[in-house]
Amino acid sequence: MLSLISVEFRRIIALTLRYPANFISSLFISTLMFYGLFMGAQYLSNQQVFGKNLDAMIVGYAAWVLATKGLNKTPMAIQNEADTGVLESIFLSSYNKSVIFLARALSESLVDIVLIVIMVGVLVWITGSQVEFPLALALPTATLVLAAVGLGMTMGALALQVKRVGAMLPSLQMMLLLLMFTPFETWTTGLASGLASLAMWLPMVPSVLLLRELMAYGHPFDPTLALKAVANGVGYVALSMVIFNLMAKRVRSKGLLAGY
Amino acid sequence: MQALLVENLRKSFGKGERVVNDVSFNVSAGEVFAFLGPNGAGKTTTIKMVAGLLVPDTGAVRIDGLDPHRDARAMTRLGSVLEGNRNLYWRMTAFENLRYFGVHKGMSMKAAGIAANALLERFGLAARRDAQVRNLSRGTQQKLAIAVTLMHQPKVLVLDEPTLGLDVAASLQVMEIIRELRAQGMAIVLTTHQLDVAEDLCDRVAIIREGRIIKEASKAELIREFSPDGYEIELAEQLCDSRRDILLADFGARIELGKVHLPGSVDRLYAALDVIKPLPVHSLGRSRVDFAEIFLRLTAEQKSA
Repeated sequence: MLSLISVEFRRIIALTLRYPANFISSLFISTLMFYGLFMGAQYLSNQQVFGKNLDAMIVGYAAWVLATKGLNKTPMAIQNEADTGVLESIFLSSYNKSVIFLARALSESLVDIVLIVIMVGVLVWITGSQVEFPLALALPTATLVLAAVGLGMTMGALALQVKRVGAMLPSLQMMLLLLMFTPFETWTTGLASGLASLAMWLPMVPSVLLLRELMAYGHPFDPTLALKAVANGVGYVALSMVIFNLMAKRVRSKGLLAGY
Repeated sequence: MQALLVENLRKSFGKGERVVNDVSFNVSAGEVFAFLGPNGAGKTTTIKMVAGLLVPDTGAVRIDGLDPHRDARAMTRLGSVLEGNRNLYWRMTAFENLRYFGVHKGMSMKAAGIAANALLERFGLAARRDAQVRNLSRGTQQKLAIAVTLMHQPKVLVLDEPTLGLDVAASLQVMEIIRELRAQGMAIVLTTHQLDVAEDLCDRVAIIREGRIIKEASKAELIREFSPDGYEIELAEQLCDSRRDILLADFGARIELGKVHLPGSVDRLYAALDVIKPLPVHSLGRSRVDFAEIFLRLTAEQKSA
């Protein structure tokens, strides 16, 4: 298993270093997109956007970028490999297929985390934000990646069947945007409080709440919320692996693996 | 024990259309088994079931005694070169591909790295170790694809159209590799439309049509069965009309492209040589048909039946 993780990690590092333009353009576009939103918000409100709201926005945006990358990975890898035909070669592996795509997505997410750290650094520099980077960030970042990759693997399972899922992904990304920016932590009374509790079951919500608490509001580490984030991330990955394996079995039975 | 055992495979798609119908065969260690058939005969579907890429409706596959559909260890006993460019990552180097797919067959990183370097040497690819696959020639890519399948030293090798699209030199190199692998004791299943390649390499052959195996035999048996009694005399000079007429009328010979196809026993051969004398004979041998003719005859028979 360690060899599989190692070889997948080395593969993504080799490809990232071999084609640095992909990394740089992704960084540039992600940063520019936030800056555009930031400038637009200032223009519309006719006032400077700063303080905790700006910090929360940056954290939400960074989480969204990380989540969308995690979401896109498996379905796009399957679509591309179906196009080039290598997908069948991957299915000749002796490893469980969901484990392969999980190892691959997690390895690629490490590169994404590097990109996000640089992006947040640039955003802090150009907006004057004061988000914090405590060590405890590692946990919600990991659980956010797990849940996003899990969601992506469910889409990947669909991609095994239909191959073309590129058109579906943007609408899911927009739904994630809603999840990442909704301030569930402020829904503390009445019906809103109940909805906020239910939202903890949605993918990545506890992780992004924990991120905001640590980075934007400077709150101390909340072990209860952390536990929810872990359960959320692990739960979505486990569920997605089951779905992925069921779909892999189905496509091998129906002869749909070689299509594109 | 047979290295590969295929029993009563059946597969239908859609509304009951049976693509593979009761296909059985086995392949021993050190044997090349050619699995031939026209397009749409069920060849690729069978091969995919053997490789574990497609689940059969009924029937069984055993690779070194293991079921590829239930036991992941079976994949470590199997090497497959799929048709075309589906075996390699084009943006990875030759070495990276070898190591990557080696690990996917259960090797450790270290073992895969050592085996990759050894195979690059063995296949004469050491100089292209760090070249991306997209920059390699088609022949080199195919050699690399075969090398990738050998990383984990499989017992059974499935080669789907291994010489398709290769130039003559590259084809010959790939064929030589296949001979070497057979000599090392590997069980090899070969599918190809290039019947001369199959004839050159295989020990046994099965011909599939409309999902059923219509003929399975050793190469020697098959050629003997389909070759007519008689001899083939290749002349170094053209026959004069009178000799030609005698051979046609009295011996029932067929003459085309400087070759006399003579039916019958050895006595008739000596008699015919008396007629031909003193024209120089270039070669003489038993009449023999090639795989292409056998293939066409068998598949046409089935069609008309």
